[in-house]
Amino acid sequence: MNGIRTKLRIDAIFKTIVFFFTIVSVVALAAILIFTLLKAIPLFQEVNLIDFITSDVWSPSTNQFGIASFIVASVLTTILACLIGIPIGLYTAIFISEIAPKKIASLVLFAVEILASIPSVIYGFFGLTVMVPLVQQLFNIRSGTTLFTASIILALMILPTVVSLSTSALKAVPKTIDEGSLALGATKMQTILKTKIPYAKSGILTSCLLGLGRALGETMAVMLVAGNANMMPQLFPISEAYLSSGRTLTGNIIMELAYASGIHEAALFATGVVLFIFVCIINIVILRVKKRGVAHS
Amino acid sequence: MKKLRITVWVVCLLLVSACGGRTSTDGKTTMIIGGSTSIQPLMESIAEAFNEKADATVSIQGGGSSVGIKGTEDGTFQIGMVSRELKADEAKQLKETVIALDGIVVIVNKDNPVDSITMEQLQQIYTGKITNWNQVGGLDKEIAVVSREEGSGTRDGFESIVGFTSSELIKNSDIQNATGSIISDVSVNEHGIGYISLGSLSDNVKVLKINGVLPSETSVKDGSYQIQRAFLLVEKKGETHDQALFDYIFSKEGKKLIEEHNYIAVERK
Repeated sequence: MNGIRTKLRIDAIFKTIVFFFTIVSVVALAAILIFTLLKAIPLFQEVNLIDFITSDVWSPSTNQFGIASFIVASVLTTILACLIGIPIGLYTAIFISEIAPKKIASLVLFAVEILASIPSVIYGFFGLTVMVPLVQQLFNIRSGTTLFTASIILALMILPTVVSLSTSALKAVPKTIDEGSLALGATKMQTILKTKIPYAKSGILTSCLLGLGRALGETMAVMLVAGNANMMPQLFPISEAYLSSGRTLTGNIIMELAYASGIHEAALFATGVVLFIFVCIINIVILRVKKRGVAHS
Repeated sequence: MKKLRITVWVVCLLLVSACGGRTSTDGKTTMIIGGSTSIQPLMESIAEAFNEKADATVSIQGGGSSVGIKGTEDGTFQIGMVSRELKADEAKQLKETVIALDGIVVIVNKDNPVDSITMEQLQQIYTGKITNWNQVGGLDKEIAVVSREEGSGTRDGFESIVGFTSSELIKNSDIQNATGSIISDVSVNEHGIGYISLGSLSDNVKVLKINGVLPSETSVKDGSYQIQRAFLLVEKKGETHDQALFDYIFSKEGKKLIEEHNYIAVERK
């Protein structure tokens, strides 16, 4: 009898501990959110949100705060990074889970995981010393610090996320699906492309969206190679935009926070709030995709 | 509901604990010094060493040169830090003491054949009126301008001495927020031009003469090198504060700290 009571007590204590630690993580999020919002409020007493998002004049010395050009730069780099990084990541995942012999597959996976653990400042430094001069010579432009360079570095950085999550999504496809497809006379490639990938769709999509989130939020590496020019990228032709210097939302915050005070500081926190909204949107989409995936299977 | 209440409480506790008040001390030098963010790091080291040595509580705040002047005039600060020249009406109310000099050097890539430019050319390069190195006697290469970020004291000093405002800066200028990044940007780009503090100069880049004068400690001290600024401490006229801090700044130890921050120490005037 006594034994059962003790067990129940331990059970209750364990539940409390779990609950406590859960609260800690939720409170951490709430604290960050509240702190950022509070710090941003002074800005919105002088500039309204719509102007803040749609104006492309950012001039702290004359109290003009508009982040449109930074939003555009963030979106441009994120899109190109995904366009380059996702196909590479996806094909690597197919190679690892379907094609490669076990030994080689684990070797590739190991390499990709190493890629994930390299600090972003190293990516940035690599970008600045190797990619920047390369881009400059390749396109014969005045400076290699461009949104294009930033996109390439970002594509490398989102690879691990896309590869490892897509690999597990593909590996989770039941053997029976494989066998059924092969039994019907489909080739290996047809099986992978037409049955396995559609089956693992939601997992793969989630990996891409997480990669997208990483690209949007990356700061240090981007700041080092993007040039951080305070101007609206020229969108027509689009190559002009990518081959010029630009500043992302994250870059803007880290760039000026050190010396900012008063309303300038508030504007940087407000930039953070806008970034937070973007990240929330991506996460909501991820949740939707996951739910649909569950419903599907 | 209960969870929400707990959350609110914890956040409140966090906020309260973050706002711990400053306690005042009796019989010691207690001073608030505020102003220029360029001088702030230097004064923070000086205050730290001075507080330890003289058992004082000198605290340093930022805000910028103008905030330093206003704060000193209205008594918020006992001493203001100013990294620009005082305007005539400001000089009427305030007494200034030069504590250090800072030279700003213009750097280009080592492969750039240009050795010397004039102040006017420099101004035109940074405002986008000169866009090719061949307009100042160099190769036919577009100029890639690199600047510091808004709020940086070096940028502030550079712009006011060379003679343009932040909104006049050429739009496609690369912006870097550290001296090291400016050096590496320029050292890998033959098109590049940037500016950094004299004390942070490295061998990876080439220094330009301005109006024919090469920046050095001597040419900054004798005034022949023009892109330089003085770091001032200002006090309200007629108010005398504890001079121990000034004595410390101009002592051997103080000068060593100034040199550690890569600025040029001066004699007391």
